[in-house]
Amino acid sequence: MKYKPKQYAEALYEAMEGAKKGEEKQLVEHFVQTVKKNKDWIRLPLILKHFEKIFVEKNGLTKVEVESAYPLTAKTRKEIEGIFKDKVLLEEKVNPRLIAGIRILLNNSVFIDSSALKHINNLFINA
Amino acid sequence: MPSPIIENLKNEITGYKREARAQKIGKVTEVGDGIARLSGLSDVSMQEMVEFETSSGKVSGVAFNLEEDSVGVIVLGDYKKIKEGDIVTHAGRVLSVPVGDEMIGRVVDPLGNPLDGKGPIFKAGSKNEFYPTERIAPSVIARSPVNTPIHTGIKAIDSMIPIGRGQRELIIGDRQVGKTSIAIDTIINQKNDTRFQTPICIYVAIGQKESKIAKIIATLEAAGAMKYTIVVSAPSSAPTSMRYLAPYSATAIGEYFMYKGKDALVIYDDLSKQATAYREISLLLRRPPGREAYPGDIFYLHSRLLERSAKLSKENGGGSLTSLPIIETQLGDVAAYIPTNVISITDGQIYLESELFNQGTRPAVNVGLSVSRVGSAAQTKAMKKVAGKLRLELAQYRELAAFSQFASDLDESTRKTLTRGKALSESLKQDELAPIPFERQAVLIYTATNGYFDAIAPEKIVDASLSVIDYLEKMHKEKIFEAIKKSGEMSDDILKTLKDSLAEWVKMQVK
Repeated sequence: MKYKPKQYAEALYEAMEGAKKGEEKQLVEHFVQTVKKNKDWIRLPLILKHFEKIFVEKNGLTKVEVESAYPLTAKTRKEIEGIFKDKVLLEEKVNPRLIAGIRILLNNSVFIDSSALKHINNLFINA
Repeated sequence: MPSPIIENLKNEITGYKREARAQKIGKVTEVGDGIARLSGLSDVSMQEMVEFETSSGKVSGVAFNLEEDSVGVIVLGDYKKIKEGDIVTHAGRVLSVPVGDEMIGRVVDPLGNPLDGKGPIFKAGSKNEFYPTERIAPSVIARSPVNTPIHTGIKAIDSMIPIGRGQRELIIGDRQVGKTSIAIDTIINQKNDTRFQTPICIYVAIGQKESKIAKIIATLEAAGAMKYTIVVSAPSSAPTSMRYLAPYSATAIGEYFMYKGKDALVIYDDLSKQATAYREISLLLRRPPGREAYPGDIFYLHSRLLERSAKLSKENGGGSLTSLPIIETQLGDVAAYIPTNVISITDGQIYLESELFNQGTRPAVNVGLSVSRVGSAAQTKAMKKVAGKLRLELAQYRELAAFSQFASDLDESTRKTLTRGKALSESLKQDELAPIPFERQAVLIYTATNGYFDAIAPEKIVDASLSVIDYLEKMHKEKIFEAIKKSGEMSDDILKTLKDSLAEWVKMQVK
């Protein structure tokens, strides 16, 4: 039987939850072997995506993707984590194309764009 | 003096406000063949417009499939610009087209953009109206029965298969039997029908060759019919989404006129190609295929479209939307899936046969199989009076014609029926692009059904009918044609004049 990526992810999460300390590494190894055995190797990225989603949901976290022109300073990082009371899965990306400012994507759905690139583009659109 | 550009820029800089707004977005996960799949944008509604922010400008699309964790979108522009990971936002409105009187005489695409190179349709800054492409059809209470005729200018149709304003009459037949010609003749004839208001005609070309569309526009232009016509063009080179949308946007444009109390006529040329386009979209969106690989809601595709044609009640302005959908059959197979669907939706059909066409009966209308279910209520009294006899005599003729092929010896009455029938079918022949005003049609049919053509050789009847009209036009225009046109009736006075003058004409023929 073919398993769906979502089913893999759910199974992995539940197994991880029930695992004792120190067993995690072995568990992941088994999981990788199972995926390989089932010839679902190509779907691994999708499985991981679902896993992340489940992880974020079950732990009441907020996934925050921050894209900035320069690497974030420790202070800014602290500030962001403070806003979400440390219940955050922070992902950072440096994109010099933004020129200045940041872009934030919350939980893959809410987008805040406050980069210089956007403002400059807006100047052209409204001109 | 500072240049306005510098001034503008200065204003922008001094008044610069930094604002960051949070917006819901989705990301493209898959794109191809005019279809895109998004993740996120979970609160998008069905048929809502979305915008793709690509590196080379914005492209719009319509949300079409809402699934557990993805959204299927049909792309309305160039899908090749869209890349995986592009951001997609809500446009905040359902798919709609601009409408207005300014559209008359123009050629537009299904989104209302001009295609005729005559510049923008609406003046800059004017507040134009938008109508949604999908709208619920007028309810029972908002409608009134069909009671006004719409004349096609084609004798065989106006006499035996009459069409009323607000009716849906299907034109069905194989390729190359003159389906489009009937539609074009109908548009051209609308300017002859001064007894009623001239309807705004909307011709929708779906999946046609661009050369054919160009030819049709040129024909309409030459006949002076573009003054009240709008052409919505979705040629075969247009994206599939456009071919699917074209009938809906044309109907939206028609509805604008209907709700303003005017009459509109929409010609869908043709709906089989729209069904194919919809099948393509559905299969790409992985909806389960059914019969002939069409999706399950293929009936609803056409029923919701044609149900929007209506004759509104007086309280609602009394406007109307008539539709003439066209369906192309394969080798005369009317029992195929799409033809049977559309036959059951419409209020009758005009059935064209390639066999008749090849025999030289043009328009190749099979009057036995063609029907109009509501049109007779709208038929002009004059036409009703003369046409009742025509239908009956033609039916008798058809029955005998098949049988008489084997019999050499025929009795007098059979021979008479055959001659009359032959004369009648000859007199119904008509050239393309030559629609005849209804008062002339009524007179011609009267002439044929009362035996004035019986003595003439069948191949000369077409010429004879032209000569009758010409004669009456010159001698009794006021008393006959104008009188019928004005009253819509064939009164005893008119009938008497007509009889006398026809007798004179016969005398002249003998000489």
